[in-house]
Amino acid sequence: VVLCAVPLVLTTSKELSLSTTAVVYAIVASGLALLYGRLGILAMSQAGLWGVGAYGAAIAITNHAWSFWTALVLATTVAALIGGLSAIPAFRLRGHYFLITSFIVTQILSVLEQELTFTGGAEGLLVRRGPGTLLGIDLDGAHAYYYLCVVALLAGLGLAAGIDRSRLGRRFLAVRENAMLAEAIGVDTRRQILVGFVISGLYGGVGGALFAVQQQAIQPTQFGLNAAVLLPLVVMLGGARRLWGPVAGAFIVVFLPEVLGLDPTTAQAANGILLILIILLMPTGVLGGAAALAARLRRRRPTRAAAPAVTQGDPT
Amino acid sequence: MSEAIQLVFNGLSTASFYALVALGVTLIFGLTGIVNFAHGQILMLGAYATWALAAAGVTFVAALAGAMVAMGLLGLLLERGLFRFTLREPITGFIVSLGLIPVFEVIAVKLWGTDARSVFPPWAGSWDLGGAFLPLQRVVVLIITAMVIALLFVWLTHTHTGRALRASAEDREMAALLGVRVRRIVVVTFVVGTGLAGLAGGLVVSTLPVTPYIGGSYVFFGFAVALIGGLGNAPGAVLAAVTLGIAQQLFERYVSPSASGAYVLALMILILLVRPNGLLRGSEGSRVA
Repeated sequence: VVLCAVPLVLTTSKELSLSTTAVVYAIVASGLALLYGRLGILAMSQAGLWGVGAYGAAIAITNHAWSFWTALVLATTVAALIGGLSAIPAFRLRGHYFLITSFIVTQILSVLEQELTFTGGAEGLLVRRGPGTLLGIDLDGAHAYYYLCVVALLAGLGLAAGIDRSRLGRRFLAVRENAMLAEAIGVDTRRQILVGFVISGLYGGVGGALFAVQQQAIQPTQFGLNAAVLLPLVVMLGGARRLWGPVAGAFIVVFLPEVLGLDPTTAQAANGILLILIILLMPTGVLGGAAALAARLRRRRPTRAAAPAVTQGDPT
Repeated sequence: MSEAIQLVFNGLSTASFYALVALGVTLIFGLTGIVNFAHGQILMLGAYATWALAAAGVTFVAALAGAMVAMGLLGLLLERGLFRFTLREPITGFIVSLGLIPVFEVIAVKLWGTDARSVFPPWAGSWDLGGAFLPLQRVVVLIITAMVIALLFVWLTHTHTGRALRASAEDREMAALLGVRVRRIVVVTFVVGTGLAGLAGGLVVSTLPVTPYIGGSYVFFGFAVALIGGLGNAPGAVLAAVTLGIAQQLFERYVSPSASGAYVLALMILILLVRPNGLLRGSEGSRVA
């Protein structure tokens, strides 16, 4: 509801375009949250998959004159496939070793985007065609496009919520908590990891395609090291284990520099400081922190009335 | 023949930077389990420190030493101010270091702008060795690197602190029981590691132009080297640096000059998949499934 009301509150076109960006970030980050929050695997490859989605859509639209919708399907499929490929190192490597290989995946994709001819090299690609009209609604306008992105985000969150409630979601948690035990009770951990990465690729692909069309121009640097750092920030800021965590994180990351009036360079440093503060002081993210605070306040009031002395030692 | 000499020389030249970065990474990881990804940005700051000192009229060698000390102090600050809170949960330390990357880059941009800087090589000219072209400055870089690495190994194996460091990396609790002040060793390791990165930065700026954004690629290869050598394994890091440096030259010469980075990165993933502990054993084999 809040997301739908955003254009009513934020009226300028700049604020609207920032909101669209935030929604796109939230989509891409939701894929990472699925890996990190549910499967317990922090992957730096999500930025690369985001790039695959963006480039897939841009190549289909610009170089081959496909329509937006077919390009979206293509970009998502390719990103999911590459997402599946990027799961392979996770079969054997854990912890830091996997983190580094997933970073390398992003780096390789970024180098390829830079070097191949059909990706337009360092200058990138222009994307000149939007979704056009669907069911009589012109989706190319900024407002309509925002709502299109929101619909995609809600679909993504719906999928994530569905997974959380399903057997698949429980198997993911089993892998996160204790992979060996999960294996022992008959969970094929490799298969869960593969499925998780394919799904995170879907999010990356959809987010990438929507991003490319919104930005109208994409370059390899947008999906490189900085993006690889930005996405975990978005996820951790909001709270990796919460459905709405990436959404909260994305809006904070996009709007905080605006609110503070920082220039883009300083904003990057602010993001870095924010990441450090969050991870040291509030490891469950702002939503997790807010929930804990709310729980504490709720608990404190009745207990204080009943037995004031006990609340003193409340460890939460 | 001359081509082979040239190739090996260029490879070693690149390898010296990788090795200095990787040694810092591997020592810090071996002891604390923290992967400090901001190590490349520390190299970059070291490069700027050397440049600033040299621009102020300090001789090159003194500027190099100054940068090394300054980055060592930065390492001290980082350990005391941030990383010591992450010793229990090393992945948190990794994430903290990710946050430091943009902070350091922005500091450099604000202080020195985005123009490429370089220090005029104090040793101009070049050697002609059997038809191979060896710029004197790079020869000096190689010699300094070799000397520092030799000193580091002597320190690790023959001094009390160095042995305490290796003992703590092997088994932190046991070392503490034997009277090693592990906390202090952690601080020393951070200082030495970041100091090495500062030195690497100074050597880089004397051979190549430097911008605030060079850190990423160095840390990348530094890490790859540390991983392939086995995280925590110092001699392995040096060996891997030489291998990777020469491999990169081979790719550049015989496969594709521009995309050599991608091939080397792919090679790294392959090595890790085939030998997850690195070419030589690391201290952290248990982290691998």
